[in-house]
Amino acid sequence: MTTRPEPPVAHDDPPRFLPRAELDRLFGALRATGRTVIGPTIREQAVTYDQIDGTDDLPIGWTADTAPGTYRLTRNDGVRAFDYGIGPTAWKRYTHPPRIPLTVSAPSPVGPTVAPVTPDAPPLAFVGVRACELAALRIQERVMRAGPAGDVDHAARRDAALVVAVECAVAGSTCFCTSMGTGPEVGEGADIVLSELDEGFVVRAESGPGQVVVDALRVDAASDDQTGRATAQVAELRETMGDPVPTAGLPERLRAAIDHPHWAEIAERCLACTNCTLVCPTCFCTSVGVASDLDGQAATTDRTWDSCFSLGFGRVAGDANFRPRVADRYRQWLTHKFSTWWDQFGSSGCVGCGRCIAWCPVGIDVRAELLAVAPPHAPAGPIPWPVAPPDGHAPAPLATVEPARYVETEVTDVRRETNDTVTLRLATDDAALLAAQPGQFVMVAQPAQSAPPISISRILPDALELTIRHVGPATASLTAARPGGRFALRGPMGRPWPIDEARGRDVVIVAGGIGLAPLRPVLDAVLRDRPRFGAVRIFHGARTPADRLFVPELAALAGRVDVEFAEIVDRAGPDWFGRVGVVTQLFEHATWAGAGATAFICGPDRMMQATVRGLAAHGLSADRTWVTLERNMACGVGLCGHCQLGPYFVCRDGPVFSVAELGDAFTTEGL
Amino acid sequence: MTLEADPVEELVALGIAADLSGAARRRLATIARIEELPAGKVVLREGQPTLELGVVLDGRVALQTHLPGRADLTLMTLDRGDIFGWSAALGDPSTSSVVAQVPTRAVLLERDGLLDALAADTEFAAVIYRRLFQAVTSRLVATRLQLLDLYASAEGRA
Repeated sequence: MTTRPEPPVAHDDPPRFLPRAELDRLFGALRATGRTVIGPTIREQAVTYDQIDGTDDLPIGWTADTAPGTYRLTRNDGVRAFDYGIGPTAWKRYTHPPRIPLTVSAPSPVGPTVAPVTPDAPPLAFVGVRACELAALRIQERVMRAGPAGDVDHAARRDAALVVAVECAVAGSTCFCTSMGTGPEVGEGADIVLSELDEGFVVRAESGPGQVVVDALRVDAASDDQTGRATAQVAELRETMGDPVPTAGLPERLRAAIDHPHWAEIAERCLACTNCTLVCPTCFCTSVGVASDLDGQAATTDRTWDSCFSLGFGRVAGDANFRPRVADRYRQWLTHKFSTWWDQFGSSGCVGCGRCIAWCPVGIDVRAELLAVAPPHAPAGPIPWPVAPPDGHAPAPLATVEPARYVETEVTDVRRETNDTVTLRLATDDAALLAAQPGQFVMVAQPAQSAPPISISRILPDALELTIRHVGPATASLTAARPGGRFALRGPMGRPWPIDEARGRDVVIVAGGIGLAPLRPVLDAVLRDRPRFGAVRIFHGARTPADRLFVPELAALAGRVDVEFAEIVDRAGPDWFGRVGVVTQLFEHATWAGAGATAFICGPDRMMQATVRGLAAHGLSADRTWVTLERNMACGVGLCGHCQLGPYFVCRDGPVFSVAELGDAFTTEGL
Repeated sequence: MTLEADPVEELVALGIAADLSGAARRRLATIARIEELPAGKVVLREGQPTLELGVVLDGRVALQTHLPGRADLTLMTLDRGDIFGWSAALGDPSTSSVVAQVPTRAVLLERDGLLDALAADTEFAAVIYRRLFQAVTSRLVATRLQLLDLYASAEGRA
């Protein structure tokens, strides 16, 4: 995780006053620190943030009328530079750009290498940052610096930026910072704060670097009258804005409204155009694209903004989609902003800037939708997922993963398991990889392909085994690997199975299909230390006899007297003399008691849900029933947003969860 | 000698007859027997009268359906505690063939006696119908899961 250096404490210096006619001195002082100045200017009939040279570039005398679906610049013939309504550009364009390069792959004598791209973070000065936008910068910092691997690109850009904030004297009709607690008074995080009066600016330095700039202005202290009027105009604005969104209890009210019919009504209006997420100053979701030369040996990966409103955002290999309906995607966005963001990052994800209202082409007003879905008088009702993991089952400490650290490995063995699945043995001497724990996964990079997350199916002293099913282009290439081939691995990642917790207890292992692969290291660990576990019961389901993985190992399990093993296939031909049906049948009439046992389950979600119900009937408790959810994991470290499930990012907080932790999030469609 | 085991006691142990009163258990005893079914034994044939309702005690039976021009397809297998031939309780033809997949021991209830008991004894009927309803529900859920063909879709797992 990266951390931002603490700025030196500012001098105890009174506010200064910068006459309007001398505003260009501020730009000169900023440039004197080696920074390029980014500030408000008019582009394409809107105030946007771009490089500016001086006062003449500012939108002096302009303001903007905003309303749901409306933004229109208008002349007010005033003298002020910062009385414009907030435009579509958020500062994330500079701290979290729409596109950045991530890695470069190139051929080498021993195979392709994958190297991270060093962030290019030019020193910038942001001029005109509003209170809500400053709050958004703080929120994005919390998101981007969260573990297990902070975003080094964001950290470099944010640390290279000096923030000159401006307190608002006017508000648009779409503003609601007062409700979200982010304005109009400027909060923490600015280096310099300006308050604009007709005759000039009250200037406060809020950090050491800000003090350097303010000192360079060589202007007098502001008078009491000037500071008084600056304070009064913000207070008056607050009074005018009121409190349009009742936020008390809002996260809980939204959780209780997860099945509200209004989601479908919104979906009839919502175009899923993604505008709201693009203009939002806190939305951070991204996707990674790959570009390669024609022979596929040299390639670059770029990270680009994405949106949870995109149909493809929840799509996974095999063409499944976790949020196929617009209603699912709107619910995801709104509940994330106002509810689950609190669980993940300790704050709201909305700062009340109102951009999503003005720039929605059909005028959907988030304030009205919140009142319709989760009105203040709504009963809290059942909350469909826990706010925090149950006591005693907090997520295990996460492995620290260096961002974009890829380790070259060599394929030393390829074993075909079924017609679409192979097990690769990848030799490595990398200590971090070899310290992997059962249940963790790695990202497998290869030129010209995305890097899919693959569960580790065996941990050896000098190698990892990955069992890979051909479900898309990247896995097609991986399953075609030959001994001597090389792949770069990133990891290990994710929360492992809690095997230590199961010691001394009975163990139930239920695997379905390719779900046997992430459970194979559990089997290895339990059988290696067999006396320290109670009864061990293993139930395995597959689609057909030909789809069974690790067939020799299954036969060995069947021959052991110290485990109970049963398997079943969904369908079979006449040459199969084993069981036919679903995996839950294997323990439906069992007489053993599950209370006190620990269960490890992996397979398709629907199979795991049926299994959890079946095991609960045998007395297994939800907090000792563990599943692994390998959703649409893309970045592997909780930064891209793809694998969000209610309050969790599956890659960061899982993929292993107890059923108690998941609550209804385990079975609620479209989350 | 397994044939000397008490079929009612076996059904009580499996929970199927546990809720029956003494009188109902005595009525059950008049229609229940334990049979050894050698591997390959066709117990019921699809479309034919369901002459017996069975409960697997040990071993395994296969529910099969006939596909013209192809080998009979095993839809599902049943193990200890599973009920087969529930159409007997309705007097209906069997919905699938039932074939012992391995040497199997089962309790069999002959159809006519079962229908008489169900008609004559409401307490007996309430318990047996409840167990049958549970079995049919379980079979329906399992069949739905099979129809979903869950393992065919990767769901993001590779």
